[in-house]
Amino acid sequence: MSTTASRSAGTRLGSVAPRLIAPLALAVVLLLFGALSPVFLTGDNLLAVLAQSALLGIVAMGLTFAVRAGGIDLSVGVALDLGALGASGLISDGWVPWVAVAGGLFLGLLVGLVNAFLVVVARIPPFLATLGVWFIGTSVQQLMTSGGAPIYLSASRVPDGFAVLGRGRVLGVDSAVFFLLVVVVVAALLLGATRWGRRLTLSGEQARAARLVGLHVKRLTVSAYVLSALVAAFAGVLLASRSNGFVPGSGQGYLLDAIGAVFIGSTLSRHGRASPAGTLVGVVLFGLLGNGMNLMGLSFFWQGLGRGVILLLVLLLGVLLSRSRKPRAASLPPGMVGGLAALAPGKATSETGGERAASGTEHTAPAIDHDDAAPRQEVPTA
Amino acid sequence: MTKAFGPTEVLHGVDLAVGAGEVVALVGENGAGKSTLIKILTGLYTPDGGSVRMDGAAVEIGRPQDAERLGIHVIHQERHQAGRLSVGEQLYLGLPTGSSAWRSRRATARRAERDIFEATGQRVPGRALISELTVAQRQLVQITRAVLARPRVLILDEPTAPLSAEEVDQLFATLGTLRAAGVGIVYISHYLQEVTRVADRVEVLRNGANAGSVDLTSTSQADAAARIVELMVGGAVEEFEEGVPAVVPDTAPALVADGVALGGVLEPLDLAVHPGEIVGVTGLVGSGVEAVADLLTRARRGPGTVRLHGRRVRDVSAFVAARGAYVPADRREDGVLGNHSVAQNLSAAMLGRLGRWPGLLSPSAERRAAREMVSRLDVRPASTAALAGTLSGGNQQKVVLGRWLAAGSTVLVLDQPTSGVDIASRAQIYATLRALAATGAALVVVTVDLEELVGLVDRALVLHRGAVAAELSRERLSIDTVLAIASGGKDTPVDSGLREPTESQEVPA
Amino acid sequence: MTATIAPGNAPAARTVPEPAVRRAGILRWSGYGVLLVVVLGFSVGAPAFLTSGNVSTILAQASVYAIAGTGFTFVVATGGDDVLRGGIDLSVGATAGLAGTVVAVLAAAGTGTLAALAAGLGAALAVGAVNGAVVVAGLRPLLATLATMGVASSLDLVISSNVKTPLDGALYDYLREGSVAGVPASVALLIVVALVATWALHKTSWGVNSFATGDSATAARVAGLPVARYTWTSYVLCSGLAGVAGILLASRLSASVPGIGTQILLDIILVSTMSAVFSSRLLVSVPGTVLSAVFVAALSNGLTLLGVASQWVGAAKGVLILVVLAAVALRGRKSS
Repeated sequence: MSTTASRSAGTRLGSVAPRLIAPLALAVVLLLFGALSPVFLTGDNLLAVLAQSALLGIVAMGLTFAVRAGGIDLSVGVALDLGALGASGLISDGWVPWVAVAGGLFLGLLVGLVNAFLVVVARIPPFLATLGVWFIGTSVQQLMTSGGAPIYLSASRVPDGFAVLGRGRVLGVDSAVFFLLVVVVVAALLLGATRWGRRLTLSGEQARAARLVGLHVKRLTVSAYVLSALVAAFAGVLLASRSNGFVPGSGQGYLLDAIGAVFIGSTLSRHGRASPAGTLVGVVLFGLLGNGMNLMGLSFFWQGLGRGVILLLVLLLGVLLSRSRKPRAASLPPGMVGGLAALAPGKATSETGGERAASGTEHTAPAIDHDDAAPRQEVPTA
Repeated sequence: MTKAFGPTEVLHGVDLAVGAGEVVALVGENGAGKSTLIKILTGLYTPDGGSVRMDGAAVEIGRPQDAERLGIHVIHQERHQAGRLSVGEQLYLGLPTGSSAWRSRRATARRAERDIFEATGQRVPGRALISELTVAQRQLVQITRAVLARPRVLILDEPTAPLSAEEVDQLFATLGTLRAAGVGIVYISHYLQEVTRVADRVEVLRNGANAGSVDLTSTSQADAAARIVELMVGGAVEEFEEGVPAVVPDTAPALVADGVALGGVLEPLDLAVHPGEIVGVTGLVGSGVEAVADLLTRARRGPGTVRLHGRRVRDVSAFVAARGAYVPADRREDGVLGNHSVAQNLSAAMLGRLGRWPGLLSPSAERRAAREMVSRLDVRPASTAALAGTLSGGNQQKVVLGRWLAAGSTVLVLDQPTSGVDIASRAQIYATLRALAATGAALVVVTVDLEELVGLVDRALVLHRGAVAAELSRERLSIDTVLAIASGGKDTPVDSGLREPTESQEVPA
Repeated sequence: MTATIAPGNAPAARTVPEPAVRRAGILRWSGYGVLLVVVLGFSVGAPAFLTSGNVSTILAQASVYAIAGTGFTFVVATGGDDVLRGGIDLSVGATAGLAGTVVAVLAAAGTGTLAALAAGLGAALAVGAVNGAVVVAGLRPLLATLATMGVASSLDLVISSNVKTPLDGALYDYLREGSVAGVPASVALLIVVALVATWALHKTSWGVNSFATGDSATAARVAGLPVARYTWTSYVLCSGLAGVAGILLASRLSASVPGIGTQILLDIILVSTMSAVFSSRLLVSVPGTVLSAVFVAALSNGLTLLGVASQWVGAAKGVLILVVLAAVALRGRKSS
């Protein structure tokens, strides 16, 4: 019996609609605040938005790697903080800039390696593993600063080489923006144009299938977590340079927005994938939103509320709209009668230990009820 | 007491009658209509015509709940049970059980043990977790749950596939208890030897219609088995292009599996495949055939060794690196990369070769290679940019195969290569496989599709309950023979070579 | 028609049965073992550790986390510990903070105690309702609750104007300092909550159904359980209890502290995750959570008594969570 994919006009719309949410939200924000505030849409303001969002953008780029690999990294804030801590500490101890940068990055590397070990070797789910590292990282910061004391670098003692990283201007733009763009371009190239990027994407989406094609899924995952932490640490170094020092816990604020940006960005993709470009859109969306609310005089706290609500709405809409999409594989063979969904609407790639153990020898069983499709395999042909 | 008479496009006027305390076996090949019939009886499908009658009166079965209320219960193959619940908890899950205000684990466990014993005559520890039970025990929990609802008709779908011989005996004892209680039983199975043991009557379906029935109270078991096969297969077996038997040059084998096994599922298996050979592996579900492909390609580790071109291979990436290819059974999850384009699928196994600069991927080279493969394999639609997940099963499989052709694989292991594939694509795939073998590739085809097996392979290993029951050369390969051996005919010696047919295999064609 | 000898199209190799979660022999008692060792260690090192006054302090300190953790336990039980689908509520901390803030701000504005409490709990329940609805709609709990966490913590800041609001009132003072039959009021509250929750989750069929839903949604559906309803309810319960914990916390601190939600989040997750270590089935449980909360409180208390600096306590907790995760993962995998 042949199984053919069936597409209708409704499906086509259904597959495009979720991708429009983020651009639509962006447009709404631009129009709304553009109308409400005369300053909003000026070039200067927009550049300022970019500068303010630059560090978030860099962190979010790193996170994009982890999400692309099929996981998540909740410890980016820690990596950022340790990067800032390392750099500030070394500068204040009199080391030359490049050593300070290397030191900060090195701490980030450690975080990435720990994450990678926990996820790949200990096989702890990425969420829990990076959550644990987040927790420990906060304590480590406390320890390394003897109880949470910030490091202040007096402007005179900071070498130019270091100061220019965060507060200089490169090619006419804020150095932070410059670095953001560099990171975006590099990330986009890595993910889009290299074999590594392709392999990472394949492993992140269908780890089993990728393994069967011969890919070294574990190694790829390690590289993703290391990169995520390194990039976040780099943002931390820039932060230390920009704010002339290090304040413990400053990385926390980036996490929520970075995750939000990455996932909002993934709604843009035809494949639902996280991507540097999408993440950038998400970052810009948050940046514009915050800036707009600022210009309107809304306090900082309302801004957080606004960001949270927007994130929730965008994600929710994305999920609701993509549920009306046809499932990825073939539809029912002709002649099947009865309200029976042959295929699960989503990937059921992991099961709880209990379910897996209890299934025993599986066969393509008849679906159990009308509403939810239990089997992941195709319906037996008659 | 139950009679179903239902034509749809899949079923054409099928009759089935089950009396109280009667065991009726429902037998037929895949595609014969058994599942559809059962789905009608249990309310998952609505028949286009015909009726279901209980005790002579017509009944409406619109939803699964209706069927259950009428007393029709199914024991599915897939036991949807929560592993970390205890036996008692899973047994009574969702059932109204009097006072729910205070639940004592011990009391629940004791009650469960009692209920299970009453229903099935077997003992299952009530405090054990579902995940700690054997498959047979889990089945008993399933059965008890159905029995608690006082069924009139109990349908068992392939109940013995995962069971050992003793467990099968225990199950039959349970069925005896149920019969004595007046429950009508519909027993669906491919294990003909067991069917002839336990059933009163066998209904054979073929092509969506009744092919005939065999009354076991008046026929000997052996005769009955023969007659059943006759009815199942029927006269007209589809025309299958006979392949030219491969000329096996006197070269070293390309794939050597030595003692490959999986605890509790597959006994140590030895296999040597030479370049140009197509070797088949088959068996009933539960014979261990499902594990063979994973084990041969080292997707699943285990005892024994696998060598490709003499090199020992320990995991899948080594297998692939040694020019191996794996086309897995679960195309959707493990084979096709659904969220990637056709071109990206085709290049997945040869990314290393697609670009001039180190590390970089050349999209144009990828597209070129993809276009070539798409036209060579006649993938439809002929677009390299289409999302692979939107292709039909047949075209998806061609893409998966194409990926390995592009990579230049010389040893291919294919698991159910044409399941869910339309006829036209199937023919194309077979042609491709034969061409591959002709150029010197070594192929292992694991399949439960007997026509495919018989028409495609040079020799076949037939598995039964975890061990190789026979190895058949092309001359002796026929659907009846394989079916008989796989179903566990008496006197099936474990073969490692080719020999004369034994008595139990002389089944009239 | 093709002749095949097996039903179904693709009996995937995955169908080969995998071994189960076995009740690992010695490891099963590892949780209690560690607890015992730590308690003994502390009582030897610091004589003041096991005095009734100190134990009382420990229990009181544990109460907030135990109550919030109990709510979290409902979510994990009903959602399962699956990576993708898994039940988790990142907004518990923020919700607790929000509830405390609402009560404090209203109390400071002169609203009656009952009304203030109702408003605080109402706010918490509202967050839970949103969480549940969004998760049922299909959004991953991780993402959904991350977003609501942002919303709730922002609301917290907005309502309090980022100002620490003192909380005065008979009830709150009582919760902080009062006692019932010699037991501190907060501990009494904890005991009540724990008993009710334990009964609900472990002694009723509703509880079994919740666990079933978390273990295998398919099995639950096959058994006829309304999975969506159970899921939604678990999130509402979680946030509701978070609200209670938040009000208790504000009472103990005599003020609502903006942003305290983020600080207690990790502790809440820690105690709920640790809960599984005490279970032979590696399932979370209310008693396990309460025990974990007491353990963590005892750990901090003991270390402080021994003169260890506070940042090391934080590090110890961090290491603890990873050790627990590894142990749980190890036990779960030991049999595969």
